[in-house]
Amino acid sequence: QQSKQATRTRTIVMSAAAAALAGIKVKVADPRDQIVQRVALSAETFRDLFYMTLDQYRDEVRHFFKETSAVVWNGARVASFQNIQKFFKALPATKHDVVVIDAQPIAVPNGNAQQEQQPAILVSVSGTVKYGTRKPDGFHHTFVLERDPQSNDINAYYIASGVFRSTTLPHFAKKHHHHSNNNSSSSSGGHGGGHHHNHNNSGGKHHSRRNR
Amino acid sequence: MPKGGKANGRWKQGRGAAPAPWQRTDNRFAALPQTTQQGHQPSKRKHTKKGGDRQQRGGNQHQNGGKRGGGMDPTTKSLLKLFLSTRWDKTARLLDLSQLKSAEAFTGIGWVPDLNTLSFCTKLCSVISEIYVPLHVQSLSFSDNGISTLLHLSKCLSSSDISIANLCLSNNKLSMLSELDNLKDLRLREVMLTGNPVATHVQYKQYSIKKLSSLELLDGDPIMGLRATLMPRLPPVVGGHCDDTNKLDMLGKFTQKFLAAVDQRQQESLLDAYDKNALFSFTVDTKMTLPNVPRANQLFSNLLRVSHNLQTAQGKARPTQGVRQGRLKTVEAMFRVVWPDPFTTTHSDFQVDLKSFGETLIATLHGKILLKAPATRNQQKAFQQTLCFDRTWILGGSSNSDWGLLIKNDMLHIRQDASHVMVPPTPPEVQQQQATATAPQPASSSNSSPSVDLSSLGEEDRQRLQAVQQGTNLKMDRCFELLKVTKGDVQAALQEFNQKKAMIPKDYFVG
Repeated sequence: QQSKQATRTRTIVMSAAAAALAGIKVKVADPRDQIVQRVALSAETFRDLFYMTLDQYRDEVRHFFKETSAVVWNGARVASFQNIQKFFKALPATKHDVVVIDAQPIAVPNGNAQQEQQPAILVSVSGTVKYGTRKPDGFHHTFVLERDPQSNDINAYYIASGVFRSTTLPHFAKKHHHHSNNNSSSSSGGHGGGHHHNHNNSGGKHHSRRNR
Repeated sequence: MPKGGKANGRWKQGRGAAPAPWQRTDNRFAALPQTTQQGHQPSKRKHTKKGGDRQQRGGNQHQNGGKRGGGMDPTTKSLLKLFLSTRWDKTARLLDLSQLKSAEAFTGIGWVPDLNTLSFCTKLCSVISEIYVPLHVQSLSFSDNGISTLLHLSKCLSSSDISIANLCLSNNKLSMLSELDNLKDLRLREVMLTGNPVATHVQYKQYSIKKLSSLELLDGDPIMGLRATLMPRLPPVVGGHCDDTNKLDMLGKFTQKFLAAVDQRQQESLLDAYDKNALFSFTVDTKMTLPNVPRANQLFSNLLRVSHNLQTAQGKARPTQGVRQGRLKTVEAMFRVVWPDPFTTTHSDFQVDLKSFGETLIATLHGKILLKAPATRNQQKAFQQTLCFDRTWILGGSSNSDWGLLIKNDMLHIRQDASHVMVPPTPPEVQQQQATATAPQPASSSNSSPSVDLSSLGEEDRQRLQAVQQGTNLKMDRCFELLKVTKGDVQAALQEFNQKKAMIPKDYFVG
């Protein structure tokens, strides 16, 4: 029953956002600015819905994705819609705290009027996330939201691309988050932890060299 | 009235010090004659047994050490003794104190035994301590007693030196996780809390496992298995994602060129990297600590003010100004607002997640920036600080062969320096460990002995163990326990064994 509500809420809120915007006396004359404003509102709505669903109604998260969605989590691509569902099921309970959110409309070259009015949206979200009882990690989540072609609601968006990265928080700079896993294992875990520390440093260096 | 005290041979754990985690609560090896603490002789007090009147008398029942062998009138005491004897299971060494409230012994005299009260717990524990500790009670059951707090019960158990391995508290009224803290000092091996509201709490298992470090079985489930499942297992972290290596090459070159141009402040050149109608916005992490240096502080305060962070009221107020439209405005913003004179940047350590959709690329960079400002004539010192950044680009193909790609959307996020720009990849060994940790663990029954991983012991310890085993013929894990008690002293262990030989159950021995 809760899950039905969640999906209902999703479409309702998106529509409410549009209605609210329609009611707002538009102060900016430039149509491009209007779009930016509308996109900002949609992004905020999306943020509220998505992270609430992710944290509290994890099963409903699949409604944000389609078969064509691309999900990348810390470098690993989650290929099909089925895998996306499995992936989110397997992910431990999360608690996200969004600190920063930025959004821009994505221009479609030679797009029709509707595409201009309801463009795809680039959203970038930054904050902290707690998995279960672990200490928080930082995260950076980049989305491309596209209009849902199968929905009649012009404000229905889905996640065409979601790229997630765990970033390191400054005050946990000294610890690798993996160590907390290692501590609970046998005594060889300590040794393994030390070993992997070195591996990571060289791995990091190798990476930047490659990218240069 | 016989007082509990000297020659009971009860093993006293150091009063102030917490017992070492491995010290078993099994009293088998406990009977070392040690310096005993004389229980103090409290004066006799009259207890008015109004039905249900179980109030604590402030002050006369101190928790700080000392034995409370008395404070009970003889009638109460013999009543309790009699009652307890009916609930004692000799073979299981279990004292079954469930459903006390309906027990005839109490209802008959109108005494409501409430384990939530200090007075009842004290009395109960003093009798247990006097009679049943010498009988080596291992397990206590307090199910169905309407217990809502363990504060007094656990305190009385500890201060009466009642060391048990198994405690059953099922079907009571414990609802707060914090109640489990009370069990910590009892060093239990097994606890049952099924049928309590607390057992339905989301954090119940994690909390118990965390707080009760000596625990081996929780509600019948071995802790090892639970621990593995409860530690949130994340999918492994891998390095930068790329689904098209050709594009990655192109992007890599583009990025290097771009960042170098920013560092060298080549505004003209950068214009060509952007699409004519490109959009640019930037945000600064609001949780960042701002630098102390005045001009840097000013820069960041300003950036925070104009940051296009929709989360803040300021960011929301002027969304259209936060998004710079067109490449001219973009480049201008970069060098006038984000990195204004006299500040210069040096980008480094970047890693990329790249996703391609046909001709369009979506790239997220994570890297570091060294922000510098030179010393000025006005006696301002040179400034420098490292930051981390995350930058998202939507790129398309470009006809300009110089750059190869065109930026259509550019989102920059600046945050505090951290040890790594992103969480480093999970190394294969850790992935392996995570995989095996969830393999099913063999269930251990409550009567089985704790397993000793001999491979984790040093050579000396192993020799000690073998010496003890040779002298006692006990199973290896029992030898281990014995040695722990005597802190590794083989001779003391053998002495101890010889003294208590007669009382040791057959299944402790090899063969």
